[in-house]
Amino acid sequence: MNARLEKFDGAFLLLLAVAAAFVPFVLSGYEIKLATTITIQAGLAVALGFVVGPAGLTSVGHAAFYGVAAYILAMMSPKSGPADMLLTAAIAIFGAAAFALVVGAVSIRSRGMYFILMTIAFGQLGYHLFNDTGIGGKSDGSYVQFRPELHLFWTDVSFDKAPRFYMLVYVVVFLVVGACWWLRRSAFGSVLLAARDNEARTRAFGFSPYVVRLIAFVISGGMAGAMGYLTAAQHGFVAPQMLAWHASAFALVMVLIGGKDTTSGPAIGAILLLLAEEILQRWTEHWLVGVGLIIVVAVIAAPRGLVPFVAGLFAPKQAHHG
Amino acid sequence: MSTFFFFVQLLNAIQYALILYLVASGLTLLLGIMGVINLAHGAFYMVGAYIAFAVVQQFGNFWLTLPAGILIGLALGALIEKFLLSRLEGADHLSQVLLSFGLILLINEGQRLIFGNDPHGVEVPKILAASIPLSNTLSYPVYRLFVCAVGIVFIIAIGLIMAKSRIGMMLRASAENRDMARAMGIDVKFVYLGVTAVGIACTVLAGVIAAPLASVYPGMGDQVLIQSFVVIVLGGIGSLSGALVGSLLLGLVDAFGKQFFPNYAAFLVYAAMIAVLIVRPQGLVRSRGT
Amino acid sequence: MVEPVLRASGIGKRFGGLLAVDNVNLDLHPREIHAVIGPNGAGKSTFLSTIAGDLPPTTGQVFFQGQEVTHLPVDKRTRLGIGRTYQRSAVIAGFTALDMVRLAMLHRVSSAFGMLSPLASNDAATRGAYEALARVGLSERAGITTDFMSHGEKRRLEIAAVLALDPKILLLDEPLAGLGPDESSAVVALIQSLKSHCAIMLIEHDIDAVFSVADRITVLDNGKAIASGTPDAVRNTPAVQQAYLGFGED
Ligand SMILES: Nc1ncnc2c1ncn2[C@@H]1O[C@H](COP(=O)(O)OP(=O)(O)OP(=O)(O)O)[C@@H](O)[C@H]1O
Ligand SMILES: [Mg+2]
Repeated sequence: MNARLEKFDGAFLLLLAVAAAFVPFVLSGYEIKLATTITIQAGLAVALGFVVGPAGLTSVGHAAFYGVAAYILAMMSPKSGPADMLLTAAIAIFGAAAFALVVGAVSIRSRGMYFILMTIAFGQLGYHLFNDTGIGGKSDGSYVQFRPELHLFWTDVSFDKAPRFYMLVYVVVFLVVGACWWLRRSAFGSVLLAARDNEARTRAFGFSPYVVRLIAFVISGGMAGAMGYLTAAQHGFVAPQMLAWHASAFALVMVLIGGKDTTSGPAIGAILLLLAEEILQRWTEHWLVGVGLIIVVAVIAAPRGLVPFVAGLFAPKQAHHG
Repeated sequence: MSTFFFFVQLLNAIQYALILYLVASGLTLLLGIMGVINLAHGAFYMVGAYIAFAVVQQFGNFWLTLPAGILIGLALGALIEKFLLSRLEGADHLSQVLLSFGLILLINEGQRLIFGNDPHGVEVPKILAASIPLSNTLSYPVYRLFVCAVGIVFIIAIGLIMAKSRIGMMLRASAENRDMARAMGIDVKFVYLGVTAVGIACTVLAGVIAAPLASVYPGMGDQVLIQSFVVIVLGGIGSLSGALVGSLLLGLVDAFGKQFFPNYAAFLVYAAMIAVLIVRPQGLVRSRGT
Repeated sequence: MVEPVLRASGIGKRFGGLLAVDNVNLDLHPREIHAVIGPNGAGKSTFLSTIAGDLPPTTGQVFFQGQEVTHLPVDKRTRLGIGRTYQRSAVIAGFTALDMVRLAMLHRVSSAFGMLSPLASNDAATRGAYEALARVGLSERAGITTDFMSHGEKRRLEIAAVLALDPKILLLDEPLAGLGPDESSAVVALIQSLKSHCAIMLIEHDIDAVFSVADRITVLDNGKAIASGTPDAVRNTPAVQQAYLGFGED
């Protein structure tokens, strides 16, 4: 990433973090819920962007990690009262990361379109696991009756109120996005970039591209799991569609719209796409036509994404590189 | 299991395999020759089925559906190559995946807009409506045999075209080496246009002839899409003969899997693809255009 | 006699119907420059790749410091002390020269934990990288993105990166190809000076350079070693004279 893009990326992130911090004070009711959903999806997109961008892995199976964590919460939630948040979240995230480890370990050996097909197959496998077999309530999905509670030493914190749940989401997503931003700039991120550009060279520098990519994939899978957990906690409901490849493709669209080579890009992509959806939905029942058009236009017109595009507008006249 | 029952399942497997082959051959050419991963192929299959439904409803004549499907398929393919795919040359798979995902949304929603969410049936043409009795309880519909016949004619036709004709030679050359093909005076742009048009037309045709077999419903192409990818991975990208073998294998897995493990049939299909890629991470050998 | 650092024995590599390397033996001793020469397509690069690990040999074994490494992946061999350059420039796009060399330093100077901090904040890597860049005369160009470097600069950058690995043996695949006369003689002098702390296997078409720096020479032709020994011995081998009438121009 060149210096200018890096600066823009940092500025956008800061702007987003500040703006998002105001949400519980200026918005209310339905709008807070919408902001919560968007923030969670932004976290998912940023986590996915980390493997699509630096690691160069076009995963069309990330929804599976997201969905598995959601199902773990649903299955661990008692019918009678709220689940213990730290415990269930730890198990859900760990479960998602473990699943990502299995998927990554066998998929990352494949490259290009084979990797894509592999991740689709695993995602669909997860979808059918919950859709066709008896686990987790079949195609009807399953409920989280009570939002999990945080048991601290002296008190139990409930997140039933929308503003407070939003703040929880804000903190978790802040951590995830911050971690992705940090990792991209770290030596680890540089090794990933080097492996993406020149695999043989990176190996000859003493690094195994397979291993570094797998580490990135597992980290990202775990983060996707955290977002799935939050979604299940927010809506109190999980369904097999959460794992299917269409859901993965939606997350990829967010990554593409904002730009996979930045941390802020996928988050901005998520915000724009979900706001567009929201507006289109109010307007017509066939809002997916609009989404389809947005995707086609974005792919053709700005394949590198909005953030690099905006950063490019401010570029000095001479040739530059990103 | 009685012999007759087994026989019927076997026929069903072959018939399904032939439909799958129609879809997969277009997909594998697109992948092999153009390197394009098209996830919208299942949606085109559904388009075919709805074309059959609409034409039969409007004109009451099934035989019109075949040319209608082929022509619309060719036009659709040509438009998509001309206005979308050709702009992606040099782009990565991410762009292709998302472009085709966008197309899926457009097609699915367009279908809902025009036809609604209800499943529809397409009547089998009169002459093919009979069934051949096999035993007291079992019989086999003639229409399914017709589907097999179309599939077999298609296999022979495309086999001859690839092996004998100038077009086949051009396709094989373009798949082998784009620049070389250009140097030989082959209009690669034209080849791409042709491959996309024909590839999508095959898929639409598959949807047309599959329509009377079961109901026509939203999302009916999803399963076919994933299964044809499995076929291609099994058979080797770009290989038509490989696709045929893969289709037959998958037809068998599907037909018998549904009988014996109704809950796990979908699993088996994905597991097959994953297993192949674990053993051969870069797919089975790519043998172009054969 | 001292143990060789590297012993390649009976190496063969087959690509389909083509036997690119055919039963080649080679010992590399400490503080020695061992040149491998031969016409285009003789199998030199392929042979080097079997030693570096990029290609698995079809037959034969590779020993490094007495340990068999035939089936070890490239990154593990790098960590043991085998460094290589590529015949075709293999710089990393989008990286500055400094960052690329820092990356090469990384596995020596950074703990797993250190991987979490940015390259630029790794002082040991930065110091080592500047030293390596200085040795190839690229100090001034440290901040330049590799994409904007000239061919000669890229070749020297690659050598800087492989020096940063601090290898015990250095496998150089045509380091002089495409360099101007000044650059070329600077690199030859550098190679000469490196001899004191690592063993070098040098593939090179520039016959004059080879005969001036090499302690021993192996000649490959059609995958086979047709001669091996001191420069003088090799020069006077009839088979070599026959095979290379006029060779040395390219
Ligand atoms: N990956 C490969 N697959 C098939 N054949 C290969 C491969 N790599 C090299 N070859 C063939 O092996 C033979 C030896 O190639 P190699 O690159 O080792 O020669 P070389 O001696 O390094 O030649 P040069 O001086 O041109 O670099 C050549 O005939 C080449 O075409
Ligand atoms: Mg060579």
